[in-house]
Amino acid sequence: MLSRKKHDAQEELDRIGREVLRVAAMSDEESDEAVSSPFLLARLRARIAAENERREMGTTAWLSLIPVLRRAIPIMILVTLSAVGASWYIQSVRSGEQPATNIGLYPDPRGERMAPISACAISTKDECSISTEEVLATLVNGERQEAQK
Amino acid sequence: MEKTSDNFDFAMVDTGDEEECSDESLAVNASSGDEAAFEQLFERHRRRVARIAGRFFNHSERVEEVVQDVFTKIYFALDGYSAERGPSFAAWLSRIAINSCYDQLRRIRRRAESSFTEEDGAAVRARLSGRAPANDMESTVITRDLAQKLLARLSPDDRMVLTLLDAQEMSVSDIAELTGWSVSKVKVRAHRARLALRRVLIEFL
Repeated sequence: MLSRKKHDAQEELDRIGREVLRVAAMSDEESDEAVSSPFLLARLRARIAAENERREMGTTAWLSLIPVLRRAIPIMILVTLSAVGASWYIQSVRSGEQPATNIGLYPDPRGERMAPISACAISTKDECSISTEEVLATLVNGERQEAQK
Repeated sequence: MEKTSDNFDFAMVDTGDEEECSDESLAVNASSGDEAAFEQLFERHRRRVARIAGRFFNHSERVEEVVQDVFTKIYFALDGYSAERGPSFAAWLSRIAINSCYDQLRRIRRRAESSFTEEDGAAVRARLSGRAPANDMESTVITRDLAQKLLARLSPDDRMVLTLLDAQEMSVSDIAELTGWSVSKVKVRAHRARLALRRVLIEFL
């Protein structure tokens, strides 16, 4: 019973909806009247001409860009090449420099100053290595100092 | 829907002083720059386009706007039209006209020109029930304006489907062909549009 009522209500709404749609539309005679003006074709021609002009303007706008591009592209290539060249030059200069010496910062024996140590301190090259005589001399000196005490 | 030129195929029949051409041959001539051929196409079909637009809009200025828009589009699209590959000229024209009306509906919707009030709803109710005088021109115009404002509450898709179904009295398959939608999509869209219209009517009437 309830669904029957609901169905009837929907039917009524659909009927009103169709009526609203029908009422909102113009009749065929009114539509014909709307395009009966003798100047309609002239207005259409003007619109087509304006649209044609707009389209041509769009095309010529692209064409007018060509001389600008002809100047801009070589300049952009030059700028790019000089940037690449500069980058390459800087890299080559850096790779030609001496490697940084392994300078570490050792604490001063007195605990106040930080003293740089020489490269020989950590090098394994022969010219930097300590000779046996030097080792012996150091040991002997150490023993002497202790004996004096 | 009007069927004035769909079967208008008596190509180059000599009828005395003037020659009658088919739409398709006129379209071919117009695409190659024959202005008289385009003018003939316009004269032949402007009423068809106006009647389609008249189902959607109730102001003659807007109908004329649609007619101009459609024929401008046709003028620039004639090069791509081929009757052998596609629909007849009349069907092609109708499709462009429907699309143009749809674009107009979207523009109207964007401008949000609908301001349907409860008083408007009462007025529509009275006019639909026959309590208000509906035989004079002024009354018809008022009722139509109110109905348009009410329909402006629907989305352009809903409004287009309902107008084609109920005002233009087209079949689902015809609508599918015109809009390029599938038949099932048209049916679903129509169902949703009816629900939307019911909601609008419940709210305002």
